[in-house]
Amino acid sequence: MTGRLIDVLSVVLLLVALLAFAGGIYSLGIAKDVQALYLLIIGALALRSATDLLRPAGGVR
Amino acid sequence: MSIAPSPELRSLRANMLLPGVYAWFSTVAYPAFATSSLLARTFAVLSACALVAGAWFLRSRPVVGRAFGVYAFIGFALATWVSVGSGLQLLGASPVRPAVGALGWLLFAFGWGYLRQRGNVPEQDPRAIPGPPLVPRAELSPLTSLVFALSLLGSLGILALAWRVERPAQALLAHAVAAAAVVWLMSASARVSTSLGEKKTLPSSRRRLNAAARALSGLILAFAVGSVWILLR
Repeated sequence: MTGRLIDVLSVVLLLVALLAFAGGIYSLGIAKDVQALYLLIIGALALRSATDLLRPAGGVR
Repeated sequence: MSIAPSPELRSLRANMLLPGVYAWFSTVAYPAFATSSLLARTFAVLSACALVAGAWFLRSRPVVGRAFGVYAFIGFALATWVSVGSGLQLLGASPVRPAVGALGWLLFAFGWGYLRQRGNVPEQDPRAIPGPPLVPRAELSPLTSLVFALSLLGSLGILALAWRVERPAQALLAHAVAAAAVVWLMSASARVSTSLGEKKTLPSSRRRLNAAARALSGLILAFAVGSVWILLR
């Protein structure tokens, strides 16, 4: 059950990353550079979290 | 003693060199040599040298060849565009030139890819080890296609959004960031979506959470900073 919740979390994080990257690029287009940088950082962290949930350190790769 | 390259190697080199040279002439050399920036010209020449070196080392040292032909070539091309500065607007003077340049880079990407030859059956390779057909270890979840399709559509949206950026310097940055983000997203979505039906090979939930603890903490911190920022505005 917990494993399924983590699967859902990784999918949600993937979608958060997708939306954050899209928002970051959109913000660059409307000249909101700080907001763009913030959203791109959020996207990178969310995507890293999503993949780290599948790749435990020292575990199965 | 020098050994002449085989026709196959020549063909492989030509497949990698010709699209690269085409992309280089249309998008790197043109703005670099149309402006008076010595730095831009130097980077453009280095970019061409990296491409040739990549094709040269292709067979003898594939890793070195790829490092020169892909990473160094693109890296020096990016450095050229940054050095050219406002001269980059020359590329956008007519809609044809950017379209031709994009086609050149597309062909370059295809040139560095590997495809199975037509009519070639992997199992008939003399080095193949015969045996019973391998059975998949797990079945894909019904959600796999949905998650991957959403990621694919979202990635296309990100690439499209980059075209809305009108400021020249930021537009280049937007395209570079969008391309990098899309590559990363598609790679991650493939892993995430296929892992949905892969229960046996994944470790315990606690280990999975521990592995992502650092990135998740950073994400939560970033959300907290963002909330404070919104409140203070």
